[in-house]
Amino acid sequence: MTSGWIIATVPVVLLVCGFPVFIVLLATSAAVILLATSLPLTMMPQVMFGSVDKFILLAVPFFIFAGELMSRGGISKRIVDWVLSLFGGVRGSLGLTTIGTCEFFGTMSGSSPATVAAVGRLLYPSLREHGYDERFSVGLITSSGAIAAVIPPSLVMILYGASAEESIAALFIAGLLPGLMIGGMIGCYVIWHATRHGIREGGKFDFGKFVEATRRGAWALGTPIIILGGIYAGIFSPTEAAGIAGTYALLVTLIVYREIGFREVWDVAATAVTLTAQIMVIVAAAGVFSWLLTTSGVPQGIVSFIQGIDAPAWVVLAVINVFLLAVGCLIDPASALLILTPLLVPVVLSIGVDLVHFGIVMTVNLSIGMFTPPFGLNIFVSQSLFDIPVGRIYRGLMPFIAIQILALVIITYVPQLSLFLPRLLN
Amino acid sequence: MGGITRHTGIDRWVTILLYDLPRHLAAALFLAGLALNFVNIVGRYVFLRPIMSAEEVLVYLMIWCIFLGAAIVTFEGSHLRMDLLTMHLRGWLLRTFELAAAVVFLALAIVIVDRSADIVLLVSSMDETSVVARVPMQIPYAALPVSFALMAAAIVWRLVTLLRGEIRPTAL
Repeated sequence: MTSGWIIATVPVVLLVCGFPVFIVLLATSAAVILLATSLPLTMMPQVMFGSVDKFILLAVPFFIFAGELMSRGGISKRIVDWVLSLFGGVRGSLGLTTIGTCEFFGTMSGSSPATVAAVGRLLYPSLREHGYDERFSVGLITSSGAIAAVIPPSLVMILYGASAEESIAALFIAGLLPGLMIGGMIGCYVIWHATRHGIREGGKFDFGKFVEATRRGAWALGTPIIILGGIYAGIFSPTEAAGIAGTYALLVTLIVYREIGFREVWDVAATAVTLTAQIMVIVAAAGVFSWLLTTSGVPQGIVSFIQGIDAPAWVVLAVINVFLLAVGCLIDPASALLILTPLLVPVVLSIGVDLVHFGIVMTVNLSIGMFTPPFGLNIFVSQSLFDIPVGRIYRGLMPFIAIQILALVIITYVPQLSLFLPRLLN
Repeated sequence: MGGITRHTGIDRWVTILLYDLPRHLAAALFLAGLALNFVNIVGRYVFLRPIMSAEEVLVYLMIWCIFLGAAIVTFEGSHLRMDLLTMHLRGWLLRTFELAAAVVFLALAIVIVDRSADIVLLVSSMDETSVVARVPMQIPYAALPVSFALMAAAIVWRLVTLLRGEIRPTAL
């Protein structure tokens, strides 16, 4: 019982006091070990080591490196040009290009802030120039960047897969249709907005321009084909595909486009390591925390409680969604996912929800947290990129939050949307 | 550089020791891992000769990267945390919260250094090696005591800067 009280109170107090998340998890674990068990403290470094001693987790630094490199080199610019040539004749073409580029960038990097940085830098000035107001432009870029967390490959899905022991490849393919659906829904809003405000930035579709953009961007456009094609043709594991994405981005930027030098590559590698460490040190600490959580019987207690109140599955899922949305407003997705997955997985299993489907629900939910006030990480990326007060960014985000919550409801209650492709590909 | 200020004398040396060196080492290990992954795939599909020990070595390289990276992040003061309350604090109250976080962090870092050093000594005395690559297991395990010692040193250094009156908005 003591351990239950420690687990329920200490993390909340320390989190609110602003302690680093991994210290919160380690301090709670140490308190449980010292006060409620006879275990030696040596188990802490042992379990921490075991939690990161996993081949699948190598995908995280590799994808972060690829994303950083692509946003600094010329790959992202060529992708923007290509998507723009595709949507050139449609009303709202620049807005649609923003969404399309985020989807495309998401297929290569899997990192939401990297996508906002890469796409925002290139498209924000054009959006403003062609009549999209500040609030709409920043709201669109900040929220569309979150699609990268849903479109495969996704860092959040890798962490969920490692935590819930689910197939990463199945999670990746399950995220494809929901990711496209979210893009489609935001796209409809963009067209409506452009029509309402009389924005018509593009001319007619120009096949010559499209061919030229495809030729110029061929190397960049090949990346998702290599990554996803490699995984689903059974050539690479998701981890190897991440490494290939990094190597490919390195070769294309360094040798083909020659836009950055080796010194910058070195800096990107160091940045990728520190960004990875911010997440993975929490993975290590969460390993200790979830081990103690399981042995102390907390998840089983929650499952018994839910079974006791006999709530229907849709109500349980609704409560989980509201809870995750609230958590996502305050904590970054990786931390929230690593703390909550061991608690929630037994609950959803007890009501018969497929773990791949739940992985997508959790990913979409926490990706909304990436741009939800007050602490969505993408908001601060946009603030530093465009130098706009946070309050104005918040207001610009409201319609996009509403759209993505609607998408979340559909994804939660139509599991076929997530499970159709994994079942088709077995 | 994430809020790193370079002065002269001891500040400069501390920055080199606790930030620059681990950062360069981590970048080198990461790029070595990237190259090994690529060579392994080329070896498997082009020459039909994969490097059997690649997976193990890659994981150990990344373990070093992760914990060295955590030491760098500690020096930068950029660990992920919820700053809902602390962002509104000023003066002595903020300083109290920072001190509390620093003390807990330091205590945990010392415990991890102590206990993980025990593990390193134990696996070393047993001559334990990895299954395929035959890597002596004290090498990957040593990432923990080394990195947490660097983290403890970084926390002590940040405490010194705190006591000098430099309240950093990023805290610990």
